[in-house]
Amino acid sequence: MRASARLSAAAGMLLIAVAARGAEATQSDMALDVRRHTLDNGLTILVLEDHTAPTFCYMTYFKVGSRNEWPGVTGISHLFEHMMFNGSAKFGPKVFDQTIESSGGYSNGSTWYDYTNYYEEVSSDRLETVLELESDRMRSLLITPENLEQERSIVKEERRLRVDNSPEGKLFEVLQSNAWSASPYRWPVVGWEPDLDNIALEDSRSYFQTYYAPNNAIVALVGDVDAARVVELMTKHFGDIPKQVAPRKVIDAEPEQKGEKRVTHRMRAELPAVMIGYKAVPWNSGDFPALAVAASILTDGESSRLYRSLIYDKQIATETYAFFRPALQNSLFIIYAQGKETVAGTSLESAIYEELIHLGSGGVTDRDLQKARNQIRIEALREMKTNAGRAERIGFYHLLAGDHKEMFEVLDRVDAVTMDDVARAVRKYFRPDGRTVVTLIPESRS
Amino acid sequence: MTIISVLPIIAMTMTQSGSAASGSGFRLPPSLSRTLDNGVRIYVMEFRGLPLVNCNVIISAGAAHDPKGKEGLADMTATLLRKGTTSRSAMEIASEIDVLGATLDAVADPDATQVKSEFLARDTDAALDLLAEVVSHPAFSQEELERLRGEKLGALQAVRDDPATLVGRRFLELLYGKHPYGHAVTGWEATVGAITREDVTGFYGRHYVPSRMIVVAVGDFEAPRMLERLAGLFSALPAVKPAGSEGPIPEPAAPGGRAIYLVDKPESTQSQIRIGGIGIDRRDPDYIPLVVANTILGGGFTSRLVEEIRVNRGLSYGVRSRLLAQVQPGPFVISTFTKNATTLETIKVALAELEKFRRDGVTPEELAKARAYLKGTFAIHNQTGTALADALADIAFYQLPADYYDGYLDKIMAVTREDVARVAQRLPFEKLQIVVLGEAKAIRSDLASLGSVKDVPLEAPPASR
Repeated sequence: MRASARLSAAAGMLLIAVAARGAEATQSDMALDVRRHTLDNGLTILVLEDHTAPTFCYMTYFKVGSRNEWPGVTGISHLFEHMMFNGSAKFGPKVFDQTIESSGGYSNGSTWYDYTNYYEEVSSDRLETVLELESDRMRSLLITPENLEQERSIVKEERRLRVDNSPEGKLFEVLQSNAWSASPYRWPVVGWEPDLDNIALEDSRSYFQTYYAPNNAIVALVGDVDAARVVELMTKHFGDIPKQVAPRKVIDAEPEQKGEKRVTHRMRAELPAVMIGYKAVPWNSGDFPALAVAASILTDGESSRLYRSLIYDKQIATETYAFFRPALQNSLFIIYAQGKETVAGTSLESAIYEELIHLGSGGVTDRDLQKARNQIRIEALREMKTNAGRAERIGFYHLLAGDHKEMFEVLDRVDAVTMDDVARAVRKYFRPDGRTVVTLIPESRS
Repeated sequence: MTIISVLPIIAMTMTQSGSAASGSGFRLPPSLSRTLDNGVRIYVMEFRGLPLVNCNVIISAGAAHDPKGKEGLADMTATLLRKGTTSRSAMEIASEIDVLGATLDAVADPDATQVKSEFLARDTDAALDLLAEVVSHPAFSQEELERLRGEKLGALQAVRDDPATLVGRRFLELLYGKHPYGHAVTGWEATVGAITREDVTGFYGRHYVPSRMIVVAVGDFEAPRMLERLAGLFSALPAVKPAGSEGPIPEPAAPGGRAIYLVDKPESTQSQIRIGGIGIDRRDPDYIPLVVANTILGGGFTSRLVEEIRVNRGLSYGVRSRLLAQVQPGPFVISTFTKNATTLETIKVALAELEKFRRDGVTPEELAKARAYLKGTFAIHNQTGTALADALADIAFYQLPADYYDGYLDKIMAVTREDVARVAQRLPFEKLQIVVLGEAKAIRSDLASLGSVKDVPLEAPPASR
């Protein structure tokens, strides 16, 4: 066992380089010492050694999320996130989690529009146990009527929790489904309830075969493992899983939005709220970094524009934030505010627009810019604190770009953003004609 | 003063806890500690790798020290720390933190207040100055108090749309009654409305004194130098004789008997369920066997409750039991949620599992799994400076032995089935409080089959208790 509180020298030095930057852009020459290997069946393996603690994280990214679905079976990707823990040919139901916990670890997964990921962290002496479990479920997941019914019912409880009984979750669903006409981002990741009821065993089987094939997956291992040994063992356990035909292409047929969309949503709730979505760009657009900086200026910390205006100065909101994540296709730049009891949704809206107009008309200062760069960089550094955080970032950027090193390059692009870039992006994307506004009207209490 | 202050103080100790590998697996890095003349206790731990530092200041006063009628005062005082000092305005402080990309948060829990900061090692001087400044020289301006009151009241309003938080608040109130643990840290709208500037300065003056302060730093620095640096920053605080008017937190009394409460939230399609009672304090000799027992009952993802409620019956997306060990016995609580129609069934399954657990004990396989799980996740959890700082703070605040975490895994691995069977009897059962928040008209008659159902309003102002 090793108990030294040091990361491997390579990773440590490079991460210091990440943080130790001035206000000027620095050329990105850092690269974590990630070993990359692709099996003949197309499975991508990324390994980063770090012997600080006697544990490692195993994380799989499948290139499938709700964007790959179609009407009638929405929510099937997320349903699979549940099904994946219910047994495979060699390991019966319940064995996966039992084995992981007995190996001194835990497992979980998450589903989003663009991807599904699965991960576990366990003691480093259980590497082969994990590979046996993981390869068996990729090769031969157990898809039975019983476990489909069980997970269907659990997922419906999850939906009730996150959407139906949460005003904020509900607004998010209403916003996405109204903002988009043709984009697959228009249906919720958790799925529409009638679709959840409609998903049949045969849908699940064919979905599994296509989307959970090795050629559609990336595995990132980070922690107390030996990279060469990992590749050897992965070849042994995964090498014979057959490659499948590439999944069908996702088409984004969204037409340009030519006018503001306004939606009201009435539900039993205590406080008014407004959620605004602007049509924005995918992660690899030239305008993405400027919008990421705009998001940081609007939302990061108590000196951020939204907090300062809506909560500190005007004192009209209980909560406010901007939400903008890297996505594979055009996605929404979202701004949310929950108002105090007597505040009208329109006052929240005007306060938000005031900040956007200010940003678009030369209101971004040098200090704002430096603050945003520092916050974005340090946030990236914080994600490097754990094996799971590193596996997540390495896998995610490989999924987006086909190369994990993109995780550093995005930071360099953020550094290169100027005050003009932010103002220009704000004027270009935060136009009334391209936005969708959802206002929550709380139904009066009886 | 709290019960903490009467326990022996570690004076001028230089603790070198084990850094070597051993059969028991992962160990925390070594730490240094010192008690200053004014009473401030400092603990530092080198933790290299990432260029980050975590520094926490712990003040031995939390929501349990809120005066009656002023519930929410510890929380308000904590939040006001970064809303202006004698030399910087609230926005200057916020801007300084944000430009460093640092964090600085002050939060109260039932027993203590913690001011926590994380920053880049290269910004240590600026960040520590700011941390010491907000703790030592808060301005507590009337204007910021009013502004913050508005924010806190807004947050309390927002809780009404958050069923899980709401039911947790009602559960605490119903379980602890008038005991100091019987209110959420954020208080009630009426009591937050009643807090004056004098209340805040009074609370600060009584509790934010060196003898009740612990400073913990973990991260990318040389430990002896960091110890000196912190000693320099915090020795300036004048030693204050404790006023002596603050009694320790009293021991809570168990509720009279089992009770079922219903909080009506019209149009809910899902019931939030809390079932529990009074558990144990942090220094309880059964703490470790109870952690193991609770892991089997309702921790992790393969617990009995998860098996029976989620996996075998698909009744809920999540269920767990928690044992919150505090200065005085904290709550033991089973939390879950389910659709209206299966509310009764879910409660019955949870009760049956708890009863079975107490009656029949656990299997050797369950015990082995729980011990392996706790051992492995300890190493996983302690990968970050943030977690290590919390572990050090735990030792200091609860006056645990300096080498507590060195022996922790060995003690976990030594827990036997007999230990688990014995401590399972300490989990509340006869006097369980069952609190359900959901649509009353859909679930009331089902609940009535369990016993007499008492209605509780969605908002429970202190006057109603």
